[in-house]
Amino acid sequence: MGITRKYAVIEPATGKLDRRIFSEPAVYDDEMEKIFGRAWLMIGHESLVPAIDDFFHTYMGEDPVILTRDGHGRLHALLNMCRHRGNRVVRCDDGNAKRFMCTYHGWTYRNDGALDHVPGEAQAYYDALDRPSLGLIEARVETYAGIVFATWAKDAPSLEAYLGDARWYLDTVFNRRDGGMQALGPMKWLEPVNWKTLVDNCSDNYHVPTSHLSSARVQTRWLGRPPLSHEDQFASPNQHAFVNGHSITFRDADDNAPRYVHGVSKETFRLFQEYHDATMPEVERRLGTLRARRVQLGNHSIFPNGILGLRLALPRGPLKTEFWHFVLLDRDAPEEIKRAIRIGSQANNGAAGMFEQDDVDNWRQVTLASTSRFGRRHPQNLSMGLGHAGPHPDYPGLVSERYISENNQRLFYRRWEEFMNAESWAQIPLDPIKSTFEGTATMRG
Amino acid sequence: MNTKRAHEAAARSAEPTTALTLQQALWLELMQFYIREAWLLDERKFKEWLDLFTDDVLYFMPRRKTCRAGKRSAS
Repeated sequence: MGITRKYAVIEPATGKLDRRIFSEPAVYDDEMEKIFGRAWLMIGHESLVPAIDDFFHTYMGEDPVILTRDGHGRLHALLNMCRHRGNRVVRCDDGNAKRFMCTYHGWTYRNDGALDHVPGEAQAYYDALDRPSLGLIEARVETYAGIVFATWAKDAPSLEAYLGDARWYLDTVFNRRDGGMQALGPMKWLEPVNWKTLVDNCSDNYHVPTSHLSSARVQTRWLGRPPLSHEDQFASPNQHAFVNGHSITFRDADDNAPRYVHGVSKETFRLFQEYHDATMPEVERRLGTLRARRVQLGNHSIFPNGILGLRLALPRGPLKTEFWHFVLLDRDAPEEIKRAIRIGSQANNGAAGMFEQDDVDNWRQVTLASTSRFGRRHPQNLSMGLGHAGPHPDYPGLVSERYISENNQRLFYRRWEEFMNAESWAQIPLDPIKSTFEGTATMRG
Repeated sequence: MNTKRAHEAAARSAEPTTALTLQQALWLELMQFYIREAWLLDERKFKEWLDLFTDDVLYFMPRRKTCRAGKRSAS
């Protein structure tokens, strides 16, 4: 669209970040074109459309999209916009339908997007309508272990290349079991925050002992979780890694303990330990010994707006974000485990989650600061751990030396610049896949 | 308030027109309960508020979902 504006918003040598990217409408408009119009966007999960003709209503950035499973079982992501005048052809959140009829003039589409019927095609249009070219606008769709991604960009690389070595880490949660995962939800709510602040917070372990102190105390007292302190976080063996815009935090531990998930408490710990022990042979076969036994994915984000598992930060203008919170469960886990995770997940995250509420007010203020006439002249300071990250012999990506670091945040805004300054996908750098993916798990699950 | 006692007190009352049915007495008791609960929250007396809960409480807030006409949400 004409001249590409050149963005230089993060100073690599100092970590200074220009606040105006959180509030300027022109920047936001560019983001919708150059990031949300190009990137592979997480839009849902195969388990939301399990049967033939199922559909689930979702979004790619601001655009309403219908995720469908057609009569042959194939997935489609269709722009929810009648090609005639633009009315939405689906008005509900999910369902099962072979066709979608526009309620304005009755144009009717098949669930693979093809325009099937136009009232008065012979009489009113004199059979001159080019019906085959007027199907619903379709995005490219690919899946990773059941998670559905879509992109508007015809020139985008494969999803496998896009995720790259980040999948080496992501597999440890999303590709653990032969039976795959199932999604519950989503819970949806709006917050007056810029979408990027939520995403960059996914690698921010610095805020945890301060922002979440009261929630952590509740967990210590009532759930028997170890107390949380800055000292523990600084000394933590956990690490950060960054690949292709995706931010990973992970734990390297060989203690044969179940990975921490929502719902682990004094009462349920034995249940989770038994589940961990019972499934370890399967997980080891799927992921290899190193990833099965040692590497545990922590907080993470998938560029641009996938946050903490299957959760979405959907932009709704520069100063507003719609949160979509799904709960992902191992499909073959015992019902007691599923129940504990479902309840625990909502106690911590989601609209009424303790941790979510701790976070959101900070983010509101950060967003508000970017609208301050005088405040926004002064950059954010993302200088933590500058020069203390690099390649690692065992772990893919650019790996920080410590768990507490702003390396991932600096790289996230660098990635943002790369998308914003590129004329096409050919100009967006992509790290080649270098990892060995031990075990049987693949992109398909 | 004790429902049974309230009902008995109402039943003993001289004016038959003021007698409460069991259902009315229960309704009054519920209203008293909600008023007290709201007051405890307004006054930030959270420990006393927590004492109102039984151990087997199920706190359920349904997720809002837009459904086709005639279809009811399952969740």
